[in-house]
Amino acid sequence: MQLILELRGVEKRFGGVVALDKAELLCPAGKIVGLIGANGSGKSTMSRIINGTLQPDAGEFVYQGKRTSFRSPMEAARAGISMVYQNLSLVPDLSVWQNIWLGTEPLRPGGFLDDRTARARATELTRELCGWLQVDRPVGTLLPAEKQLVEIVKCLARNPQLLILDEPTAPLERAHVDLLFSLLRKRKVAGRSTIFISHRMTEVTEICDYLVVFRNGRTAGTIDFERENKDERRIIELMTGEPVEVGNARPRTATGSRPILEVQGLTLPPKLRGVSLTVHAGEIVGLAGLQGQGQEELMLALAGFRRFEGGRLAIDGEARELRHPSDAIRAGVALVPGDRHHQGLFLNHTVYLNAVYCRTALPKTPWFMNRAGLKEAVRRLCADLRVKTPSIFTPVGELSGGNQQKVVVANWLPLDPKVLLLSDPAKGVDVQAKAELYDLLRRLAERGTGVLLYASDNEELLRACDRILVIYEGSIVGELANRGLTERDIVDASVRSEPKGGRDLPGSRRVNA
Amino acid sequence: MNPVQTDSAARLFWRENAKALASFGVVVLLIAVGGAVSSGFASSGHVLMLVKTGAFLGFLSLAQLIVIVSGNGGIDLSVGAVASVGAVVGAALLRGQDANAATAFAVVAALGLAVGLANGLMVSFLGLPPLIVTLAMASVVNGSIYIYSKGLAVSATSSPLLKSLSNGTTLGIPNAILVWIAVSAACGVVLKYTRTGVKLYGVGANELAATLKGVKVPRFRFWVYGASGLISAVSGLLLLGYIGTAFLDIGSRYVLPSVAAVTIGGVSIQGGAGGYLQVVAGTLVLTVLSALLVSLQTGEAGRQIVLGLVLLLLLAIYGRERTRGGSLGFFSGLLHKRRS
Amino acid sequence: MRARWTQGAARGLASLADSALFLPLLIFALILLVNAIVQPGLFQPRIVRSNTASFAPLILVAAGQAVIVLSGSLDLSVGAGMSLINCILSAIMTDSVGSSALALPAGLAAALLMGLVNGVAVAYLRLPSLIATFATSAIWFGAALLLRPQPGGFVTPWISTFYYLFLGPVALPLLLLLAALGGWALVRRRRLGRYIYAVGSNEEAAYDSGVNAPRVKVGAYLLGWGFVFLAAFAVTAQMSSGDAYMGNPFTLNSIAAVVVGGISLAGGKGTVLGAMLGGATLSMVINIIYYANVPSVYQEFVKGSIIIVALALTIVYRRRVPRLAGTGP
Repeated sequence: MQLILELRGVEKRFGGVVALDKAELLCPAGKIVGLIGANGSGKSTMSRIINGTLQPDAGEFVYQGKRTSFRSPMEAARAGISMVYQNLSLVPDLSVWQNIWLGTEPLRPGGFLDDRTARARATELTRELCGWLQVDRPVGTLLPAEKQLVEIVKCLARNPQLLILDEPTAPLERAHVDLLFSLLRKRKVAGRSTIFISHRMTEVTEICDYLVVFRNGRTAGTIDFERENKDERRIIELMTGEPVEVGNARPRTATGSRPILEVQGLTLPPKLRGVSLTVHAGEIVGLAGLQGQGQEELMLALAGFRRFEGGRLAIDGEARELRHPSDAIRAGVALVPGDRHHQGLFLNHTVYLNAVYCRTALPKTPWFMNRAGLKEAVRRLCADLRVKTPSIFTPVGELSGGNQQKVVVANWLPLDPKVLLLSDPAKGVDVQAKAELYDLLRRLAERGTGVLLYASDNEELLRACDRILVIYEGSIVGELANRGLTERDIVDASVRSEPKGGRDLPGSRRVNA
Repeated sequence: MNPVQTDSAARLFWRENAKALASFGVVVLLIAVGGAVSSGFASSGHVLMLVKTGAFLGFLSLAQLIVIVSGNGGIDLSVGAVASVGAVVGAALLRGQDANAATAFAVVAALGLAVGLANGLMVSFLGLPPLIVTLAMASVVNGSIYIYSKGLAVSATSSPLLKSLSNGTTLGIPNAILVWIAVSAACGVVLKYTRTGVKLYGVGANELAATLKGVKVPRFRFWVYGASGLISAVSGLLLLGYIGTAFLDIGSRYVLPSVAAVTIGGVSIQGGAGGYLQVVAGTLVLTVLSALLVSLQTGEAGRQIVLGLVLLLLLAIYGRERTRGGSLGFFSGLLHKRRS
Repeated sequence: MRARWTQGAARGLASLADSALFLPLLIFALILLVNAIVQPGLFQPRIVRSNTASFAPLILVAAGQAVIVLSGSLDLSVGAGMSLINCILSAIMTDSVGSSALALPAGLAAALLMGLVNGVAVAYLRLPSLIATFATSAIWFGAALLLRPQPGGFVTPWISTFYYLFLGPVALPLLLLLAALGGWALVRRRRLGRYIYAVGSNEEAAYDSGVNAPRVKVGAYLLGWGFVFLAAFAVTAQMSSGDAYMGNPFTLNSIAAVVVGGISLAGGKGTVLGAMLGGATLSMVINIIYYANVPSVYQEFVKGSIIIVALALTIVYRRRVPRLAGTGP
């Protein structure tokens, strides 16, 4: 079997976080190689190393039989490697055909653009994948699915030897996926190779010839579909490793307390399609699911940042309409956002300012803030939460991730929120701080706060939550009570889900492996 | 585990104001150079006079500061025009009598507020770019003055009270300087000790985070521009007291310098940080630099060139754009979009 | 058959409405109408010539500003730059024709240098274009003042004569405009033109596609300042002297023209032709103020108001247009 790409012993760290730990990826030429793995397993990092966006810290990179390294995506492109990003490289004001040829325009003699050829060939190229699109339309007017398809065509137009698709089917409908697959099969016939990164089990087993499973930055295993069975259970086993034997550390009796957050049929196109859930006072409810299923959007909607189009919301029994985060805050809802740098903190400002900021939007705070009193309060808060900072006037950007996150939470504590929403709070946080954070959540729950927590790391959910809801494509598809639950159960429920247009399943339901 | 400390006041002050103190150092240096080059430049009387002239730029720079700190490309190029209108209207209402002072002040303040709010409306709620909006507004306001005064200088003068406020002295110190000190102190207090000040920094530093913490950002910015207008108009009144008559362009010479003063003191043009002490420092640098250039007899041309170069230099040091292609960069997914 | 005709006409109208030129054309037509009313004889060849001659500078500098805005920047120093070029020309020119042979290239070189400085500052040093060009405008103005502290200086007579030469309704100013338009049409059919739009629309995506965004931005500035030079030449020919203050109104006016011409200040959308129409429109507004016996005191006020109204209109119009634009799959 001839290999077009061989990566061995690849290592990559980002600060203190290890993304790839001696990972390996061998791609047979002329095949479609699938790359699958849980969140944080390193597959995205790997793909960006292949395409030249990132450079590995260590490891061997052999392409077409030669040792190489690419210092930029341009270099990789020149060598015939092309990648379809999740952030599209489309320019909204240019037309479809102009975008397809952007950077590689066909020219007439004298250096003039050969628009006629470009347009004709673009029409041909799009015919298969998105033939209904008029190539003269400005890309900005396209639907997200259509933009994704145009981006794919754009990459294909450069006829790469190796095409990398990173979660290409996320915005696509089933019909589009079929078109894409037939196109990929044509590439195979022409001897070109493809790397297909996806979390959707059904698609990966359908289109790929060869599968590489990543886990924790390493290659957990490979399966050659041309020779072996497409065993989904084996794939999941490889993805999660040994089953994690954990239940909840303490049995909790949250049932029986009043519902503090009730959501019915919350809809927010394009991501949320009828979410329904309930959180009781004193309960920690987890939200599990693969990345991009609507968790972020749900948190932002519940915090009042996005007005949802359908559905009802009640906080502590009172129906609420949230038009702005200030409405949510006044109702007692606090959000610890997913991206603390861009959404949760003022990085250049002091711990003090960050910790007192939400008071400024509250009418009950006096206009002349009692700085002396507040300084003392912040100091005590930092001591309570064990925030490691030389002073409360240190710029918060200088703190470690875990301590920054504590400051974000500290911001809300004096308000005594009824509902605390957390969007992947422990991402990029060291082990010690993570434990302290979850300890804090436990204490808050004991005081009566209802906690809704989304974490991309299923182990965290298992350790902290009383109940786990599984979200898939914008609705809650399952509910698992955390009694003897394993990570495999969660992953299973997350990947074995209905394709688009599936129904959401109310009430409790144990998903059987 | 070390208990978390609160920094000593001195260390805190030093850290927050390092850039400003550096600028003050530059001021001292410039004065020394001036003293070496032309006699009497460094004398206490002259220095006091320099600071007094600087006060008026200082007031307009305050208006500029709050708008710049509020972020999102915030800038107010109408400060000069609004000051002019404040002077002209003030002169017309005062008619040289102290008795009319209260009315004059109230009307001028209201007028300035109205213009500022109009700017704020267009910037915050219509989403128009501040630079163009305030530039166009300056044109509208200047045009209005022109219509009103029919092109002639308004010969009405200020009242004795105003004159003494802007031009008189108390215990040997020019009143203007005392007013400036009072304004600076008030500004410092508001920025540091009040809800509004803290809110302002957040809004400018990270609009999204501020929104998520409950701040109604467009409405807040709307009022910030209003405040800028109000401050500019009242400054115009004070200018009237200083110069003695009001004329069309009385404020326009302060527009570019007000932006420069804010930047030179180390305040980032992208907003979200900066204190008034820095602006005082920047104002003094500009004032002394201009005076120095005048005494070196470089002429208007030299002054303009040096000012432009200095601003460019400081932009290059303090003010580079963070992300490629625009201020928000990272966020277009979640926020109201500009781009697909 | 009738139904098909009306369908076709409807589609034609819809696509015209979509096109970036619709609003500027409409505004231009309206203002032209008003101008024709207050200034009888507007369409006589002599009047057309003299109007074209006096409108040309604004139209040309609007074209220059347009190219820069399309690439995603802004240039507030065009007015001061025009003053500087004007002062350079009047400083070098003497009685001899030969002196213009020296002066004109010098003026062009100065223009390109100014464009280069601005371009490098914005594209490579990543200074915010608004403030950076604000700063450079002070530098150009100061330099102009150095050359010409007082208005005066000399412009070789043949230039003015040349400027006003005509054949029927066609005179040099018109040729200048056509040359500018032609120049841009040429660039538009090359990669630079395409990339200017791409970079203005989304610099990040353009860069990811392999476009050298900083180089394109500098290119836009250089091209824009080429037009600014033509504008300065036109003004110099008309004024026959040098004045460091003459360029001041052109900065704001060029931006107004660009906005009225349908160009988005965010970049990537609009046409240079639209901006030139905008320049013509604005010039006609000034004409109207004069001929309608509106006191010149109102000029400043009206101009500022027009910019604001046009800005607001473009925003409102653009929010509606997506509904007019084509249908889905």
